[in-house]
Amino acid sequence: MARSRRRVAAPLLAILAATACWTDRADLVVANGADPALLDPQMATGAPEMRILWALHSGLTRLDPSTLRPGPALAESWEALEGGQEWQFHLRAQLRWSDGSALDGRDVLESWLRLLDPATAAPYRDWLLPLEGAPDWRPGAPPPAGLRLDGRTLTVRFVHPVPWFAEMCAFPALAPLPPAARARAASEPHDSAVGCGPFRLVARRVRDRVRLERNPFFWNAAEVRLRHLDFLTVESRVTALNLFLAGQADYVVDVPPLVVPALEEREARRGPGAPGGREFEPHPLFGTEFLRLNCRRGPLRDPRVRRALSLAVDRDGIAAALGAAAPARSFVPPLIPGYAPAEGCRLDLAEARRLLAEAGHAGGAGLPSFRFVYTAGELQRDVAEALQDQWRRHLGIEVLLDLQEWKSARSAMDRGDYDIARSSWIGDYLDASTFLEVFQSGGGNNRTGWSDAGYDALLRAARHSTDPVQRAAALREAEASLLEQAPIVPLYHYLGLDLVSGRLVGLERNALLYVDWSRVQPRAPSGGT
Amino acid sequence: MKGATRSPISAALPRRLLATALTLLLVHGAAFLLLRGARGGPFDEERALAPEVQRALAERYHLDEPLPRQYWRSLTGALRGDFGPSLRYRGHSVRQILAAAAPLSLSLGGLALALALLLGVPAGLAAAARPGGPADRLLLPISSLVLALPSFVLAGAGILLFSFALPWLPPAGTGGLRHLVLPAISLALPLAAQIARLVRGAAVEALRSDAVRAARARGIPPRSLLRRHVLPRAILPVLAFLGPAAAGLLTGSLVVEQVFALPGLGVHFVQAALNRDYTLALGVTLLYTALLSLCTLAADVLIRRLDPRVEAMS
Repeated sequence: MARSRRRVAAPLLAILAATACWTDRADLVVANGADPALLDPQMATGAPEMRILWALHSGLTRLDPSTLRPGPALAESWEALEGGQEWQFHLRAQLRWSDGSALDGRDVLESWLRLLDPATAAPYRDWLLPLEGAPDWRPGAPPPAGLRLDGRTLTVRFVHPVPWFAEMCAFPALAPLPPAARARAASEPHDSAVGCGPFRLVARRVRDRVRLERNPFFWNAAEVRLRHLDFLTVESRVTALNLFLAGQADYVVDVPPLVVPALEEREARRGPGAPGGREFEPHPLFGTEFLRLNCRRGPLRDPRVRRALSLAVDRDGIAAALGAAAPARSFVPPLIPGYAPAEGCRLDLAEARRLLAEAGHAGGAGLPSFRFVYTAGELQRDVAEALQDQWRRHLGIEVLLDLQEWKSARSAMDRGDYDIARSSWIGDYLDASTFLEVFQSGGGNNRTGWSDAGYDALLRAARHSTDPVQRAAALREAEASLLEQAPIVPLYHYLGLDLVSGRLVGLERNALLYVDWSRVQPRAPSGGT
Repeated sequence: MKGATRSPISAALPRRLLATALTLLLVHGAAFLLLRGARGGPFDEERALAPEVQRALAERYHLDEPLPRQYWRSLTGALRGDFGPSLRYRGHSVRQILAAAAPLSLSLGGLALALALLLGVPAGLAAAARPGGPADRLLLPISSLVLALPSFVLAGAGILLFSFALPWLPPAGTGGLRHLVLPAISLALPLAAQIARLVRGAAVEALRSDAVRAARARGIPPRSLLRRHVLPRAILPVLAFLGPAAAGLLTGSLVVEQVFALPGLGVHFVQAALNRDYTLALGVTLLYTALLSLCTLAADVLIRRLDPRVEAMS
C-alpha cells in the first residue's frame, strides 16, 4: 500500500514542481488581459501584444506618454520636409540588439521591406504602401525609390504627405527586426526573442505569462530602473481587480464597469495626497462604439431613414447607464490637437420623425423589423435593449435583437447579412484619418456598402494637402458628410478604466494606452510580496 | 491490469480499444466538419486584412486547399500525434500548447479528485452508518447546497474568505501549491457532494445485505465492518461515476481557470472554437475524447476487479 502511495505521489509532486516555477515577483506585474498572440512586431494588432512589444522593441521614435508627441529613440533627430511628404531620420551611432550585436540603418530598411513583402502577411503593410515605388516593389528587388539609406540617414519619401509618420515610427510595426527574425519569419511565425527595446524576453508560457528582463544593450539603458516585468494573462477583469487589490498586480489594464463607483469611493478614501497619486482615474480613449447600418438593402438604403435612426438615439442616457463611457457627438473622438470633430450626433426627435415621414414611413409605417446583430459582452445586451426600446418609443420602428458570437457577427457584416450591427473602432495614432478612412468606398473595413464620391474626394484632398489647417477642414467636412448620410450611428467613446499602483512613477494614462516602459520606475525600492 | 490477464477483461480489451479508436475517428470527422462549417475564419479581426495578406495566410496554413485534402492532412497528422500549428498562437504547435497546459490541469484535477474522495467517501459512510443520525441529516442539505451553487460562486466565496477576509491564499495566478488550493477546493466540493451521496446510497444498501449482516453477527467491530465489507461495495457506483468525471476534471474547467487565471487546458475548449483555431480545437477535442475513453475503461476494469458479479454477467 505504502509503495503504491509513493508511486502515485512521485509523479504528482513532479507535476506540482513544474507548475511552481517563477515564484519570485517581478518589479512590475501587469494584468495584461487576453493572452497575446504572436509576439512579432509586424504581426501584432491587439493591445495586449502592443504592451509587450513596446517593451521588447524600439522604433525610430517614441511617444511622450503624456502628450503623445514623438521624441527621439533609435533616431536621434529627424526632419519632415514638404509637409511630411519626405522624412529624414538620423540614427544614433553604436546601436545594439538585445543580444549585443550591432544594429544599423540597414536593419531598419530591411525590416520595412519585410513588412512590405506580401508573404509576411503583415496587417500593417498598408502603412508603407504610400512609399514611392512601394506598390510595384517585389521581394528580392532593390528597395523602392521611396526608401534610401545614406550612412546613418534614412530618407523616406511618400507619394503624398504623411504628417504623422514620426508618430507611426513609435509603433512596433515599424520597429526594426534582427536579421534572424527577418530571414525566418516570412514562412515560419515565431515570437521575437531578440529586439532593441528596454527589455528582453526571458520566457513565455502560453496563457500564463511573459517575463522580461532589463536589456543592458538598450540605447538608453541608464534610464531603465525596473529589472523584471511580468505580463500576466488575466482574461477575467474581476480576477485582474482581485490581483491588484491583493497587491499581486501593479497595473491592471481594464476593470469591469460595474465596479467603477466602488473604485471611485476607494480613491476618495485614499485621499488626494495619497502616495503615487490616483490609482484609478477613468480617462478618454481614442475609440468609438458605433452601429453599422447596412446600406445595401431595404429601407436602410434611404439616408433619411438612417439619419432618423441616428437622431432618435439618446446617447446621454446610454452612456449614463453604462457608467463608463462618454456619449459620442462625433465619430472621431474629440482628442486630436488641431482637429475639432464634426458634431453631427444629437437627440432630435422632431427632426427624426420629419425625416422618417418624408421617406414615407411616418410612425414606422411600411418598415420591416430591422435585425440588430450584436455580440456577447459586458452590458452589450443592455445597450441593445435600450436602443430597441428607444427606436420603438421614438419612431415606432421594431428591431429584432440577434446575439451572435464575435466571429459569426463579423462574418455576417462582411456578407452584408444584417440591418444594424454593433461595431467598434480604435484609432492607431492621433489623426482623424484613422477613423474616417474606414468608410471610404470599397474599403475592407467599410462593411456597410455605403459609397459616396464626395466623401472619397474630401479624404483624397486631405491626404494630398500640405497645409494642416486645410487638411483638418477637409477631414471635418468629410466627417460631417458621414454623419449626415449616416451609414453609421456613433454611440459613445470608450473610457480607459485602468488601475495603476501608487508604487509606480512614469506610467502615464493616455488615449492610446501607450506605455514607454523605459520611463516607468518604482516609487520606493521594490521588495518581494 | 496484471492480475486480470486471463479474465474476460483481457478478452474484451481489444474490442474496447478498437471501439475507442473508431470513436476518435468519428469525433475527429464531426469536429472537423463543425469547425469548418462555423462562419468566420481564424484571422478575422476588427481590422480587415488586405486581400494579398489574407491569401498569404491561407496559403501558409493550407486553408486554400480543397476541404477533403485539408481533412486528410488533419487526419494523418492526428494519427502521428501532430495536430499542426495553432492558428491563434502562431509560432506554437498544438502539441506544444497542450504539453504546456497539461501539467497544471493534471495536478489541479488530481488534487481536486483526491480532495473530493477524501471528503466525499467518509462523509457518505458516516451518513450511512447511522441512517437518520446527525451526519445523515446534515449530508442532504449540505450536498444540495454545494451542488446548487455554480462553481464561480464557490470560487468567489473562497476568494472573499481566504484571500481578502483572511489573507492566507493568493486570489489568482500561478506560482506554487498555494495557488492551487482555492481552485482545487472549488472543483472538489461539488464532486465531493456527489460522491458522498453515491456512497451513502450504496453503503445503506450494503449494510442491509446478507453478507454484511452475517459479518456483523460474527461480531466484527463496526469500523472494520465498514472498511472491509461495506466500502468495497459502496465504492462501485463512485467508480462508475468517476470515470467520466475524472476525464472532465483532468482536462480542466473553463470557469475555474478564468476566475483564478490559470493556464490550464479548460479554457482552450471554448476559446479555440471561438477563435476558429481549427487545429487547437481539434487537438483538445481529441485529447478529451481519448481521456474520457481511457478513464471509463479504467473504471470498468476496476469495477470488474472489485465486483465478481460484473465479471460473471459479462
